[in-house]
Amino acid sequence: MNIEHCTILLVEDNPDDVLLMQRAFRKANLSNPLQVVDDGEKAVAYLGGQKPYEDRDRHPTPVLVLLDLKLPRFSGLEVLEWVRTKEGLNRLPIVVLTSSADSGDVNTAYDLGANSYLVKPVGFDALFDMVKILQPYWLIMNQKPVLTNG
Amino acid sequence: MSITFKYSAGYLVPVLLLAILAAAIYQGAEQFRASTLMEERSQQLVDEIQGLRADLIDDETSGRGYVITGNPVFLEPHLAATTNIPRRLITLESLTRDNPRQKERFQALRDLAEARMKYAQGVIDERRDAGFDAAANTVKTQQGKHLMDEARIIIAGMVADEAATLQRQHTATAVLFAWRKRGSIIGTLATVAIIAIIGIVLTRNISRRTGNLLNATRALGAGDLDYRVEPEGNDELTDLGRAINLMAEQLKEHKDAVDSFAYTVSHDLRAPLRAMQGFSQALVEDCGPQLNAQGLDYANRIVAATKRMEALIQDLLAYSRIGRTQMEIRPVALDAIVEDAVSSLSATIGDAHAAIKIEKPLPAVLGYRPIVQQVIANLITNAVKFVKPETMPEIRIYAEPRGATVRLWVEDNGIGINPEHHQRIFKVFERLHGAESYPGTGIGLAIVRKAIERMGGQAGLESALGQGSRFWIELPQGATA
Repeated sequence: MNIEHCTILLVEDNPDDVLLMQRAFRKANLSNPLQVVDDGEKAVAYLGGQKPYEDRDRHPTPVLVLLDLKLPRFSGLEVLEWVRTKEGLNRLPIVVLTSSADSGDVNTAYDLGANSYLVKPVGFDALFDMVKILQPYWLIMNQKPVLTNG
Repeated sequence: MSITFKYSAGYLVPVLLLAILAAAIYQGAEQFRASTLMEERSQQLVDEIQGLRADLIDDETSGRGYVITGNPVFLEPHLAATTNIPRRLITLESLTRDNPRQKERFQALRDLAEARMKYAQGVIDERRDAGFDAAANTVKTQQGKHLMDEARIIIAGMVADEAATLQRQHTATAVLFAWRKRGSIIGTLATVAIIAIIGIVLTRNISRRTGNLLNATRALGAGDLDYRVEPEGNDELTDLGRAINLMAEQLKEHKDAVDSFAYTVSHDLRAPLRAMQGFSQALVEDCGPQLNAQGLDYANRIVAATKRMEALIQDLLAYSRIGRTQMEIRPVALDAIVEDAVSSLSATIGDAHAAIKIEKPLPAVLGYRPIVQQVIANLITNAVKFVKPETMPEIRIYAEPRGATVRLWVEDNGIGINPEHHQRIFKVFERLHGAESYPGTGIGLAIVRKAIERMGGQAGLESALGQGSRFWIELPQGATA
């Protein structure tokens, strides 16, 4: 699998959740490189290819973004809004992954163009199950759009 | 303008109109009386003048008779006229006092009458003292006749004038009376119409606006906290509208605070919980070989505790959502809801090998479907859970129409509840059993009661220790469709 076409960007500020997500990926034997940024500003910088993420060999444009909503600096919704108006990135599949099941957040996220909305499961088994579904669905079964400024 | 002012004005205007109308009618009656008096006076004037004329003629005739015969018997009418004429002159003076034209004529007539009386007396005295020839000579001068002729002319003028006045008065009175009559009818009708219009306008206005306020309080009560009253007018109802808007503003602030609290609970409290659970499980899985049995037991206890805490947060959120959800109350069929509730619990029911009997058909009730279903699911969950170990739960669900409401019963063969605890168990976090025997958060029944009360119903139970429980919820009857 070409590394440039299977990178997943995880936007998550909670280091525990990052660790657990990485463990779940490891346990599911997923070889996808998991890039992690811990706030909204860094997410925008990474996706826009700005410093310190300008090297696309080390920081390739992801094929999927797992986006938390409650983030320092820019919120997840602001990142979502930015991506959807940014030419070349606007088709990027974004899955919201957050702890809020608030119907207002769900609807706003879809209004702003989220492709899917998942609530972080409590319990490692549930997280593990989710990752095992997520990876094949979005990275293998799902047809990827063309991103023009890769 | 206050409502008090509007209503006072609304009453005062018709009262004022009625007073004006009464005054106008009274004044009309007075005028009618005055004109009648004037007619009487005119008539009296005419009568007196005619009387005066007769007296003057009597006086003349009487004098002539005496002059010719010298017999005093002829003087009787003269003597009567002598007393009558001055009396009549006094009466006539007062009757002509207010009419300058007649007054002028009267003065001339009085002079003539007095001159005529004086002349008559002179001729009579002459006849008595100087004899027939002297008196006859005086008569021949025709002085008496001239005086009489002049008097006749004035009298005729006065009578004609008064007759004309009388006629005019008569016509004027008739016209006036007709106008007064028309005026009082129109005035009465207009007053009645104005009273009716003021009443309708005021009542409509107040009724429409109280209706708006009622709609606003209903909408706010149903949870639509963005509903506001349109400000209108400037009276007590306007103030009430502003007060309702202010109250809605406050409610919204409180609701927002509760919402953000719920968000904090669901988001921020769950994050460390996820970490605790994830890492305790990772500990068991990744470092299990290095742990002894006690270490493994501790780690498993941490996992179990985090699961309970997750359930607690879930239930607390559900409970707070009951208070915040905007419920659209409409008729819902209990048949379908009970069935959905049962199928949503199929795993729990299957695990417990519970037998559930639904006595169909169940009627419709007024409620908000998702919440009614949650309430019924909570009751079924309890009925399945609270049985003696090794007992197969048997649950019977049936409805009892109670006039305007419907009571839905969920009957079980469980452990039962001592009546002294019947009220307590509907409160948040109230539990009768330890987590070891019957796990739970103590929120399920609190949700039941709060949800049912928000939908305008009641919840309760009949039970005794060891005899099973019969929980009921009561909601307004829905349209039978």
